[in-house]
Amino acid sequence: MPHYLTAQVVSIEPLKEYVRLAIKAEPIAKEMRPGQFAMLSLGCEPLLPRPFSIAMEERGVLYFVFQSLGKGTARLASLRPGDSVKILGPLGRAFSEVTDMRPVIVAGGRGIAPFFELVRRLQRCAPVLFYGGRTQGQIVETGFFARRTHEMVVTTEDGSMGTKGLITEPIAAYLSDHRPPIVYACGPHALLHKVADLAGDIRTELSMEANMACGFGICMGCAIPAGEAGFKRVCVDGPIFSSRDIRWKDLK
Amino acid sequence: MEGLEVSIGSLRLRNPVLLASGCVGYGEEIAQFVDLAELGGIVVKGLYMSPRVGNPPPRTWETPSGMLNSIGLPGIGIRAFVAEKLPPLLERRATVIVNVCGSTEEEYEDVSRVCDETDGVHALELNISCPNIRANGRCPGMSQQETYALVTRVRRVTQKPLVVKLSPNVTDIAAIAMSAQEGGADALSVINTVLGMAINIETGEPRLATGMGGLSGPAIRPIALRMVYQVAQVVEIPVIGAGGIVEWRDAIEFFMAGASAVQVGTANFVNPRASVEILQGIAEYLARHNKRLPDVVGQCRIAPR
Repeated sequence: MPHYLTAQVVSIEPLKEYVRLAIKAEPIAKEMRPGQFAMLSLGCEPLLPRPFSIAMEERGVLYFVFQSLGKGTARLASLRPGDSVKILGPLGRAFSEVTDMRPVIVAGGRGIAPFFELVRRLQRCAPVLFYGGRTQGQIVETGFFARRTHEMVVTTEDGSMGTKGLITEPIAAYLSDHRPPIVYACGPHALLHKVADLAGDIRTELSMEANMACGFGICMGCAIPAGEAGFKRVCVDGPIFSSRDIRWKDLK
Repeated sequence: MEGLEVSIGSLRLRNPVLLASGCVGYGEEIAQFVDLAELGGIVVKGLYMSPRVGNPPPRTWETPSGMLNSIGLPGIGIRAFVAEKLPPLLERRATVIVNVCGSTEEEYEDVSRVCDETDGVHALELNISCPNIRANGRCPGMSQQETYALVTRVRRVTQKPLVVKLSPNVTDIAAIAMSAQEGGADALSVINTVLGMAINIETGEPRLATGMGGLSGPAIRPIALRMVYQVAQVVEIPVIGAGGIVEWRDAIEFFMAGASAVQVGTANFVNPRASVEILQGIAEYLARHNKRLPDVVGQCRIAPR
C-alpha cells in the first residue's frame, strides 16, 4: 500500500556523475522491497512528480541515486538537508528475491540504483555483479558492492575504470559456462534487450523505464509493449518485468 | 461534508467535486488515497463496447504547468467494466458516472444502452471530445451538427442523467453547448483537453507517438474558465467545470464563472489526495464567507461592452 507523505531531506551529496539523496520516510522505508520506486515532487513547478528507484533503506531513511538531467531532476538535486519533499511510495512490483546461489545482477550506468538494497538482501547467495558505464564517473560505490558480492566485474567504454569495453562482453562469457538461478538487470533498454537475449531461457527480471505522470496506475501514460498484444503500465505492472513479457520488436 | 449537495439534472451529488474521466482509471488505484464516498462522484475512464489497447508510447510529455497526453482510450469495454470494476466502486459507495465513447453513432448508443440497463451506473458522460482518436484531433464535438445528432440519438436510449463533455478545440463553444442542450443534454462538462504538440529538437520528431495530443493541467485553466463562463451565459442546464483545477481556489473561480460542480483530473497525478483537499477548501471558504454554493455560482459577471 503506497503512502503519500511530506518528508524531510536528511542529506544530499554528489556521487560522481550522480546525486545521492536521503529522505526520512519511515512508513515507506518499512515496506519497500528492492526494485520498487517512489515519486518525488517539490510542488507544482515542474508540474509532475519524478519516479526514482529506491536505492536502499536504513532506519526509516530512503536513499535515492539519480542523475540531474532535466528541470525536475535539477530541482531535486538542489535540495538541502531539512527541505521538504512530497513523496509517494513504495510503488510498483519488486524483484523476486531468490535463495539459490550466485544470482547475476547487471547494471548499466545509473541502472545501479535499485541494486543497493537487492545485494544486501541477496548477500548470502553470493551474487555476481556486472557493472558497466561509459566512463568511471558512472561507476559508484564499488567498495559497497565488492563487499556484498561473490564477484564484481566492471567495464567502462573509455577504459577509465575496470576493463575497457561493453559490459555485455563479460556477461556473454560468464553465461556461456554458468547457469545462474536468475538474472536481474537495470539500465538502458538496449542493454536490457541484449541481456535478455544472452540469458536465453534463464529466468530474467528487468527494471524498465518510461515517462510517467502519476506513478500509481491512473494516467496510463507509461505504456510499454508487453504481453501478447497491447501494452502494460510500467508503474503498476512493472517496473520489474520478466524479460519474456516484453515485446522487444515493438519497443522503441 | 454537509450542505454541499448539488443537482445535475435528476442526479443528486453529495458535493460538487468529481474525479475527471481519464485521470483515475476505474477508481481502484485512487481509492487507496481517497474515500470515494466522500466525493461528489467519479467519472471513470472512457468506455467503448469492445476492449481497446490505446495508442503506442510515448503517450505523455510534460510542458510548462501542464502535460500533453495521447493515451487513446485504452479500456476493457463496457461489459467487462460492469462485471468487474463497477461492483467494487459501488461497495465503496461511489457515485459512478460512465464516460461513454464510440467509433460510430451506433456504438455510442450501444454503450449508453448498457449504462441505462445497469443499476449501479448513476449517470452518463458522453465523450464527444477526445482529441486522440482521429487525425488532427478531430472529434464529434467540433461540429454543431454532429454534436446535436449524437446527443439526440443517445438521449433516445436513456432516461438517466446525460452529461456531454465538450471540446475546447472549437471557434464558438457557446454554439456547440447550445446544440448539446437542444439535443437533450442534462448538463455539460467544460472542457476536455486542448489540442497541442511538442517536438524533440534533437531529432525533429514529435514528442508523442501520435504527433498531437491533449494539453491538461494549470496551463489550460484560464482557457477552461473562460469557456465555462461563455457556456454558462447561454445554457439553462448545469455546467461542470474542468481544466487545470489543482486547489480549492481554482474551484471557487470555476463556480464564480458559472460552474455548478467541478472535475479534478491532472491534479490527481501530482497529489492523489487533491480532490478531497479541494473539497475541504471549498467547504471552509463557504463557511468563512457565510455562503452556500448557489450564492457563489455565476457570481462573476463581465460588464457589457
